[in-house]
Amino acid sequence: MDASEILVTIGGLALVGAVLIFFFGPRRRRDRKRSI
Amino acid sequence: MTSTSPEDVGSGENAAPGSAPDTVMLPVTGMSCAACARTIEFTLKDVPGVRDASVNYATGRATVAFDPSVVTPPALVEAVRSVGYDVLSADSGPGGAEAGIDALPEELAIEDAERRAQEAEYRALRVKLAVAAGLSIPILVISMAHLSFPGVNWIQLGLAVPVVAFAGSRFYRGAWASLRHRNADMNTLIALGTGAAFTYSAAVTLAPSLVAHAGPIAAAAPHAPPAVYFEVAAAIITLVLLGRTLESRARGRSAEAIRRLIQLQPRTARVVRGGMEIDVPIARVVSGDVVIVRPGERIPVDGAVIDGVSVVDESMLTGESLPVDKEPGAPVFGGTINRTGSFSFSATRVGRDTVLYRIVRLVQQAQASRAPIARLADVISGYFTPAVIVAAILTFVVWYNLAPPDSRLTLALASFVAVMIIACPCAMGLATPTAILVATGRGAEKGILFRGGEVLERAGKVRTVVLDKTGTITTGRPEVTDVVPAAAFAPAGAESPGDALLRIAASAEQRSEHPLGEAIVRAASARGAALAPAAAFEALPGRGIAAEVDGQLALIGNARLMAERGVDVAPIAPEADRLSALARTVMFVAVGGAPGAAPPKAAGVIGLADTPRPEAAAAVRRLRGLGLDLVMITGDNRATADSIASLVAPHGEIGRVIAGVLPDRKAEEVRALQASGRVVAMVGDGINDAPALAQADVGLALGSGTDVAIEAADITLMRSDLDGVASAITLSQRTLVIIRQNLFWAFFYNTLGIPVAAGILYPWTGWLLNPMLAAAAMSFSSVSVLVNSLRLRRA
Repeated sequence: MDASEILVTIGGLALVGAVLIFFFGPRRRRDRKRSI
Repeated sequence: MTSTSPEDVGSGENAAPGSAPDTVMLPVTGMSCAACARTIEFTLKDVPGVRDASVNYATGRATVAFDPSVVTPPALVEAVRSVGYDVLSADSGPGGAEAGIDALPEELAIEDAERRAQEAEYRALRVKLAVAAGLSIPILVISMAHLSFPGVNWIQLGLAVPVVAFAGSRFYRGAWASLRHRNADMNTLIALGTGAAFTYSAAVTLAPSLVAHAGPIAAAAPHAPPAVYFEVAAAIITLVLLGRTLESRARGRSAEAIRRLIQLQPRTARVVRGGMEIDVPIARVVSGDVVIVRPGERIPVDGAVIDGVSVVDESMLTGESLPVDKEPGAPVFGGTINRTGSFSFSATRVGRDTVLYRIVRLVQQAQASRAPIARLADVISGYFTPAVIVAAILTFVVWYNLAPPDSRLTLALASFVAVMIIACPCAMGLATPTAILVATGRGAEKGILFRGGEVLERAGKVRTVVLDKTGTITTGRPEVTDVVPAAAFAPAGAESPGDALLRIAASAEQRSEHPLGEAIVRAASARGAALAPAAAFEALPGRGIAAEVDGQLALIGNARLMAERGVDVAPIAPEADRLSALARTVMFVAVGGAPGAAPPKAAGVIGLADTPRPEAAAAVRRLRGLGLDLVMITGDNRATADSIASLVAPHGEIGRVIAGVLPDRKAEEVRALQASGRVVAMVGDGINDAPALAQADVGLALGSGTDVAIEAADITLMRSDLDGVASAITLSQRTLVIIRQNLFWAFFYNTLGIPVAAGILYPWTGWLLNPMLAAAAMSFSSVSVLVNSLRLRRA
């Protein structure tokens, strides 16, 4: 595994995490209040 | 609810558009998703002086409670506009308020503006659909036939640009709005899929060298132009637009119910001013005015009778078919019809304070408070879209690590794009509209009219059905149930005493226009009685009738009539009491004596009652058989309600009977049921049912009901057959099943394509994103969805 592969792997996984948090992560307080 | 005093309204001045000073209802346009409603709601809540705000995406209404000393409605409108949405106002189009209707001009004008906006939306969708379809067909022909000639990709690019940029623009705007609120819906998925397909295709058209050298797709046929996927983007946009257009056409209008209600109010009133009777516009009537009403006229405002006696048809407000007697002191209500006599009354409530206007507000509030349903396609997209993005990123990572270093970036990028392109299910846009189109057509054949597609989705989820009693479970008109002759009553001929009693009563009532008289005539005709001519017919408002039959005086009416005419009712009093206890309307019949001589003698009593519709019991059984909870609701007393319930539901099919409900409290009872988490359908026919019909998740009106009820309802049963309720719910349930299956088929083939696009087959076949595969997924899923929807034709 060269440096760029490690970078892409870590970056990709971080991006996946970011996508999941973006869509399903905790909401801002007033967002949550509304969704009741 | 409203703090406007009658005087304010009477002077013709209206403070805020469409509402009382402390609450305002703003018709907001430009919302494309539930998230938009949230944005507007937060913006409004942040305005100083606003106590509360709620925005309903389904109805496009913002309801704001505010402190008028701090903030004004125009400032609220400004706040909404500041975040990129617009508020319709009464003057936002030509032909705003209907001339002459002064009490409620803003509501009508706003509804008009809303309707114009909706029609404009439909026209815009049609234009976009035409453009998208017209340009997509050549693209599809080129790609499906694998036409290859110099510049072929450039032609496709030229055709695809208007489809994506013009026809498909709403999906990108909607996707952006969703993303801003961290949501993914159908728009996001479409924008992602078509965006990936178009951008990739445009890139390889503009710069073929990007893929020509190292690209896996080009590797198979090095001399051909690189594969493009314009047809994927174009077809998805066209098909989804087709779905949206079909839906827009079917969308119901909320305005008609309000319009019909407002039309009940006369435009002018005859009031006494300075000792003269003058006609004034309704908005000029003030509390305390003396209003004159003649027979056949509608009563203009609410008040109390000062002078005169009459009978008033209040069925439009109360649902009660029997006219109500009015004497000095009795309350009268705007919108009801004066039947027999002239009278004058003192106006007590005018303008926004009348019962009629309260019903208008209740219908509006009920329509505004209804929660929008989460469309299945949006819900699925909410999970599918992030999943596709994650899959695409992982594909990129895996390819980058596994592919040979010299081509790894190209391969990883191509696979990344491929996953995005193949994942977008174009049949998704058709899944719901086609099912709804077929189901509404099937419904129409059965005499069931659905107002829009959402109704079908909602009706399929109904667990509780609330049935109005008068006019819904029952026929709404009185029928003769008992004929009891007095022991001393002995007819001359061979007739039985009962037949003779009914024949005499019917003969006397022939010229009566009272529903009770008509019922007696119907009952006699049904028994084949030969009616005798009646002379000297006299209608006695609030009492009954008098006429000469067979040369004898016949009196038919209530106990008061008998007492006034000196008839001794003691011999038939026990029978009358017995019938009263059974919730019957009792009519006394007295016959005999020459007119003007000694008082006639009591001949018997006739009992009348509102009877169940012939199909009611079977319909109730069928609804119960569907596993639904049944509730009967009525303004009548407990005894009447229970007696009808036991007739139509002898085995306790109706789980709950709510009796003694005031006309304007029905909606609250429905809300209480909804609060306990049930999806509630309401079946009714009267104007008094309209707020409850609008409040319920699904409102069903009988076709024989009032126009207002029909307009407030989501479903109209044209055949006025209670059995249609079960048919409508069954059809909706089937439709819901079909929609779920459609969405499965729409996503299924495309989901299968994801691993292939990710490169699972690449080591063996060299396939990354095969254009054949993308096209096949597109057509298989679309055809599956269409064929599946057509199955509803047999539902």
